[in-house]
Amino acid sequence: MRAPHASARRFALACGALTTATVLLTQPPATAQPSLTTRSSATAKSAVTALPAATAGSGAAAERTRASTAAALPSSPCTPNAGVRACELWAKTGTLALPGGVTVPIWGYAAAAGDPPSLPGPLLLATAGETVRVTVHNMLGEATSLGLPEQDVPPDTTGAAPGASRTYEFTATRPGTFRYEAGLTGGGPRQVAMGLAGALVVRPASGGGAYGTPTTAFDDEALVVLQGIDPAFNAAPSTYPMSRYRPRYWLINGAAYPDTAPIPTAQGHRLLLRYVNAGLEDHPMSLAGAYQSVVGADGREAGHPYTVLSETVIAGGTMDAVVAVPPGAPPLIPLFEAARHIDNAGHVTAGTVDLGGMLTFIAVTP
Amino acid sequence: MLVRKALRAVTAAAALVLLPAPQAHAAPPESGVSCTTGPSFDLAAADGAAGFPDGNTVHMWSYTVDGNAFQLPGPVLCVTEGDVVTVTLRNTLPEPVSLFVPGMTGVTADGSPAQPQFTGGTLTSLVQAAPPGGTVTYRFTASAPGTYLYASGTDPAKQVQMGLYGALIVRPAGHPDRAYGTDASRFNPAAEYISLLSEVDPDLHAAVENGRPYDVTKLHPRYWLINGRSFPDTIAPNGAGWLPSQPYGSLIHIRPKDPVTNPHPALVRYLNAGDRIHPFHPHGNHGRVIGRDAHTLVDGADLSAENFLADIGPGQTWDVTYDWTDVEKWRPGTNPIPVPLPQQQNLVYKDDATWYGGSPYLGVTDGLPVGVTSYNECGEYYQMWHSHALNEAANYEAGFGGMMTLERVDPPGGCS
Ligand SMILES: [Cu+2]
Ligand SMILES: [Cu+2]
Repeated sequence: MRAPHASARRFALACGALTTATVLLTQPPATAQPSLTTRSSATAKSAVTALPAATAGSGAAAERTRASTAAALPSSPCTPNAGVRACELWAKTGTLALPGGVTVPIWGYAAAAGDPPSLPGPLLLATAGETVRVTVHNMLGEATSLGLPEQDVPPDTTGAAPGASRTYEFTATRPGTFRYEAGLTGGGPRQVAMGLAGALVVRPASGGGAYGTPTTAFDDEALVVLQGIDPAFNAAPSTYPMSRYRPRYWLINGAAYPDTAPIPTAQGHRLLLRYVNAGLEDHPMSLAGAYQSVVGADGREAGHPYTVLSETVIAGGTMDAVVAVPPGAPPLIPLFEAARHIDNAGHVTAGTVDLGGMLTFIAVTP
Repeated sequence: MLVRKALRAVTAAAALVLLPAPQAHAAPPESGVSCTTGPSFDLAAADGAAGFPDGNTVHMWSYTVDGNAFQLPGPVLCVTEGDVVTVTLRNTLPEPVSLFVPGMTGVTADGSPAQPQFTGGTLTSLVQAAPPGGTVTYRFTASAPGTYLYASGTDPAKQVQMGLYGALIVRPAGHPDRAYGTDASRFNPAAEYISLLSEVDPDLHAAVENGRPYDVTKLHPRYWLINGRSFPDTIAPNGAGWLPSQPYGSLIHIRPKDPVTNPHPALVRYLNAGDRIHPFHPHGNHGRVIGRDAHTLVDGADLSAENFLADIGPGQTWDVTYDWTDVEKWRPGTNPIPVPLPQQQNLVYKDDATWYGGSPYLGVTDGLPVGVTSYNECGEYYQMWHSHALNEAANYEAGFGGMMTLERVDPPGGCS
């Protein structure tokens, strides 16, 4: 009975001016396209080792993070060419290493035929007004299509057959943070649960900020893509009863703490967090010792930003929140899932549940 | 509006039909926020037990006023904007425990900045903790008015489920009748309430009590609490003797809005210490959300919004005001309800007891069937306020119970 989100600060989807869109069928490529931008595995796991290993009361945390650079979006494989932003995605099988030495099979998108798939998929990045052309090369054993909620693309219930490709084209009519995922073929929902989802960011054509407005201005920005993993489901994605689907690992940008990458920023900066809930459950996301102003949701600028500690990012939703990092902010601001999805399969050490899951730190440089 | 009208007309009747028997001791409730005042607090993390309406008793951990009896939830800490607040936590539990206020800035712990704790590279706590048998002292300036949740930042997946949570209220300096900085957040200080929402999975509590392993991913709450109690205990008075470790009721007790005698709304401060989103639904009147997480929505541009269902998410606090307005003004002689009323015997729910006063008109009592006990005092209305995740309106899956309380609306002149 969640329906009456009566708050005026929930953003109803209005039917804006829609442009025409087409779904183009293409022949499967004889060989893989040259990789436009080979994206290193999405989760920046190398940065994980930079997570401060401070002891209580020492300044080691601050020391370790001072070398960090400002948070930025990951690279995108989408290339601009005369007003057209061309993106290529390879849907394929792979594996994901989780804390505790657990490895699970995943399905994900890769930015190049030879790359492993990543969770989440590569960032699709465009500028408002551009034509976005996304080609999905299906290297899975079943049909898959691309779903682009909030974009003017007709639902594709057919998809690309195994080994084939399909191209989707739309005009990025407005800026915002959006989601893409496996679309509405029969296997689509299971494909999303296996990891076939990612973020689409459309930058404003002018004015800067998230939405071309002063209230959405930022110095640093980070994607915060939320997903869950149920290893039992991942082991049998085509047959596992979804009624038993119950994630035991909780991911930010494809990693569970302590493998999550810290989000570097600095005192006095405005840090934009672009949350994308690509999972199947709602997630209240909280800070500690700092607040976030919600400046947009579901790809719509908030008419009236409001400031909270914790706000729920609903399944399938996106949220843009600006953290105005105060002068004197502590070196580490926890960013965590407030419904306590901050464990790794409930793993316990000496009677204590290990901190894990949807937890990372905003690492603040003075 | 039709829906509201219809609801209003059957307000009392609905309560009758759906509500279970009160505790045998039900008495005119004493309600409202019950403050432990600061700005210095000596608390202990301790274990104890909480009782639920089905007779079950569950092992709990909580914060108590050091030296006082165990209580669930932790004490409502009340301070004033600008206070330098000191909280000393003495840990009597067998593992490190902290008191973490995510909404507070500039906190120190034993003189050092509060910060996440790492041991050998492993994150062990989101803030400094007191070791078993030890203490830790937190200090901060309560710089911003509002409602704050405090809870353990150490092993939260287990410890917060075990009961280590409570509410902290920071009142504007000089204005205990405001939630925030201006008169736009003014409320009736005689009608200020806390609704701290949480859940209990007794299996985890039994495992902790008996040193057995448990799996927090299999959490399955059976009790759904407001202020540490489940319905119908929620409507029992603060400090009810038969709930010795659960001192806080959550009955909302108000009078109709009146420009002269009752001009200001009631304030309910919601906090969610649980791990579920609780869609909280007041019957009978909309709420106006005037603040979230110690941030005003009404000082300056009015960003408040009325609703009849507030999706209170984990880690969140919502400040919501309520006015009850006698819109239809039903009166037995001059403005009777234009539909046939249900037969009274059909309104009596069970155990020959009711809150109904025998008349659907506010301030009017009338006869009841022989043998029926009424707890109604003066023709006041009772309406359910509850989590609209209706599986939560239960005590160990048996309804009605759980995350539910009543709003009591007295006649305009009060109840004498
Ligand atoms: Cu109801
Ligand atoms: Cu209802």
